[in-house]
Amino acid sequence: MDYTQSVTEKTGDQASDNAPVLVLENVHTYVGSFHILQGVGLAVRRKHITVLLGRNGAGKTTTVRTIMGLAPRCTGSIRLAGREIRGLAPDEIARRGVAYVPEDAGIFPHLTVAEHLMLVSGSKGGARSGVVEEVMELFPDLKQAWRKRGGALSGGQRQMLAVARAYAMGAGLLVIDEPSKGLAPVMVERLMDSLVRFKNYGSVLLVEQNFSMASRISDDFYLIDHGTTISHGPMAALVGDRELQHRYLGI
Amino acid sequence: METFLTLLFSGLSTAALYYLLAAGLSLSFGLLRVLNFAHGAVFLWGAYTGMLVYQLTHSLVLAALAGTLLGGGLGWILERTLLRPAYGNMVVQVLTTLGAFYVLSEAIKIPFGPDQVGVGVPAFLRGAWVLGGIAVVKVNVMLVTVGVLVWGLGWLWLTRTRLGLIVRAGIDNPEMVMALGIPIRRVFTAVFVAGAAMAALGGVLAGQYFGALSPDMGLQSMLNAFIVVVVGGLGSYNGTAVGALLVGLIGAFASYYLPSQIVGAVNVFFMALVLIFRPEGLFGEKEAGT
Amino acid sequence: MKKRSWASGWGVAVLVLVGLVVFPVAGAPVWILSLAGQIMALALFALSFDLLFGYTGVVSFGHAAFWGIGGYAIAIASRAGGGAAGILLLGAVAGIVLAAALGVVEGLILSRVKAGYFAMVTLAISQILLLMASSQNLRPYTGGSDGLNVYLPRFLLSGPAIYYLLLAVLVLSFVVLYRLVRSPAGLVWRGMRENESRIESMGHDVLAYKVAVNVVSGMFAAVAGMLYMLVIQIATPELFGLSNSLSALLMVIIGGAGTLVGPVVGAVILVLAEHELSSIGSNVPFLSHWLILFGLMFILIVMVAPRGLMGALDKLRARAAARTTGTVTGHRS
Repeated sequence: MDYTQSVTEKTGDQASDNAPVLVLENVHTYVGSFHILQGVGLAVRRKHITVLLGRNGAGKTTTVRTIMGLAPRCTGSIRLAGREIRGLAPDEIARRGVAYVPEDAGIFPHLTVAEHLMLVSGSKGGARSGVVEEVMELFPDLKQAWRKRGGALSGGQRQMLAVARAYAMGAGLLVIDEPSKGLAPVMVERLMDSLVRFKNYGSVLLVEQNFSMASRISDDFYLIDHGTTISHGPMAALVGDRELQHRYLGI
Repeated sequence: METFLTLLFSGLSTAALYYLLAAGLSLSFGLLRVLNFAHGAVFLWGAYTGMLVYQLTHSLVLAALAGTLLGGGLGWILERTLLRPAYGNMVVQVLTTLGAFYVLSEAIKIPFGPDQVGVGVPAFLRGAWVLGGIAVVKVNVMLVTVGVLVWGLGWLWLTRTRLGLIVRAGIDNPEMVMALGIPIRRVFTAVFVAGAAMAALGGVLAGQYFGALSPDMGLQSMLNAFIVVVVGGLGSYNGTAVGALLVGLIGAFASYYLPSQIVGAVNVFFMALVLIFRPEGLFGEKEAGT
Repeated sequence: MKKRSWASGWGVAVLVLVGLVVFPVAGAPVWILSLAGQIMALALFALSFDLLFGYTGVVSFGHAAFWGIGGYAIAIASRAGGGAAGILLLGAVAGIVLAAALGVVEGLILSRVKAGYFAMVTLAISQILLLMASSQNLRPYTGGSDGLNVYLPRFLLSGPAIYYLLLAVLVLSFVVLYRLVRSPAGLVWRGMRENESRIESMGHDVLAYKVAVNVVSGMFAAVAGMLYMLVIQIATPELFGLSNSLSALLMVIIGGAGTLVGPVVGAVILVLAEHELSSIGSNVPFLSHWLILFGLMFILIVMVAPRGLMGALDKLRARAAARTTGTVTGHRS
């Protein structure tokens, strides 16, 4: 089972480097009898960081789960590198090069840091493969915690591990949900660094409440409220627009 | 002292039996989040198959093999027909496996009748060795050996193989494993089948241990397995082993000192204690929102 | 919409009731009255389980524990009093109290453990009771594995007296349960079936409701067991057995969980089918294991038509209504 093919390898380089890696069009999601997403649209540009902003309950996490195929029922179009992925099983979507980091980082309490990386890099238990070594060099904090179990890691270490795991997966798109939640400022800085560095390898769809962090590292923004996309554009535009910030982010 | 050692050893062999029975159940529940009620029926069918094959071939090895394969096959059928279509719907899975348990338990009565049947025990397993004044029953030795062997192999598999790694991750968070691109449903099936095979093997050995089989062993074994899983903790591989040890040993000592009617209740009582003070089991994890 | 469909339902019910009251007088043979008695006792048992499983969504595999408690209460009282009505009544009360106590215990357990665990624990409890009932040590009290014969007061032995007593109790119980599931408590129970955490966040004491439903359901099940005892007049440890708990599940699921009427229909089907299959079975060897067929049917129904007969009927009714009025009747809660 080899999961190291990235989005670009699998689908071939797009003719134009400007074609977005992920496009959502008119996505509606229903959870039980609730119509949570009521027409969400967004596009993530290649090798850029796009941030999804909005208040609590606006539908950010639901959007991300819908992209990953974890939503029970949805309509609309979700295209990854030009190919439709709506309706696919989560593992199928992940194999096409999408790395998902949920709010709690999705770390396995009983697995060691090493095992987390071995799980996604396709290596047999016990051996440290080349990919894993590479990733360890990029994340020196984790290198020390090599043998620690997920349950014993700090919040910051967990988020770092989740990002490191995305690297090890060879993912072309990192979808990460509120990583800075509950983290100390020092860790937030390091996390931001790792996300910016990820742009060298692929694209990032970031969901964040922390506006100052998001505004510093994102290239594009999408604003969600009550399950619909209210506004979008380059981050610089939002930074200057105090009114929009106040109305939809409560700043 | 002799009594103590005899009881100890008797308890250990029952523990081995319980372990074979419960290990599959615990892992399946930990991974699939479903309590498979048909598990006891697989044990039963394994037991009767073992007895039959031994009768025909006089080879315990063949009997064990036949039983194990049958168990695995039965497990596979159950998983495909009952569990997979109802994936995620716990109530449906619980009800259908209960129905399957009932059907399978009743079905055994057709060829074998409702009464007890004797099981042939090979000559080399009959009787006991006498070591320093204690009778060491040969069947017990075999049981403990097989139990330890299976536990050891399982442990190696869980910790040293890729599939084992996936299973351990799945017990923690199956949704996340899928989000990492791993088709965990296939693994579910494999684990389920392995657990069923182990239970069936337990059945074959139970036949040797008791020397007789009857159709209501299915229910009894189901209850015992459940008690072991509750005590040890769901989804904890070693927890099940410890649970089996505790239940087996307590049972052995209880049946010596207490009248037989109460013995059955002692296990349940012990389980009740664990449930009251530590509902997630001795080695289990507290799950959010359960 | 709802009123209209139920109005016709009540009409049918009254008709059926009249029929049931009249038919023994019209000269029915004893064995039919006995069969009808069994149906009624099992119907009450099924009703009690519907409250627990159908309305509140609790999966129990040991409901026979209450059934057996009721049965043995009557049997022991009958043996102690030689069939005197007063002692029997005392026994009945004792049985109900005991059942309530067990209900409290099970309710507390329910609030502590996962659903799958609870099912197994209830099974374990009923099995322990079975062991106790068949134990040699308790033989003087419970008759051991041979069971206890039940002696009835003279006034119950004449004509269709038992039949009418059962009918009265069943109808009364039905009405009580009907009112109960439509009461505020009933709404909470139904809410617990759908979404327990939401009910809790609304401020309801979920623990209390869990205990309550087990107690009420257990008490009715015990009464059902007592009624059954009046009909078959012998108590054996098998009363506590898994097959009886399974019967409760079967009746409710076949008839339709959460409908009250469904389980009664389920009881009729189960008893009649059992009766038919076992008499055919004496000729055809395989069919003597008709229990297997029921098990298979159970599995099929759970997988294919989880709402049972009533559910299927409802769907048909809804489709018919939609065709004539252009709307769909509301989702029956």
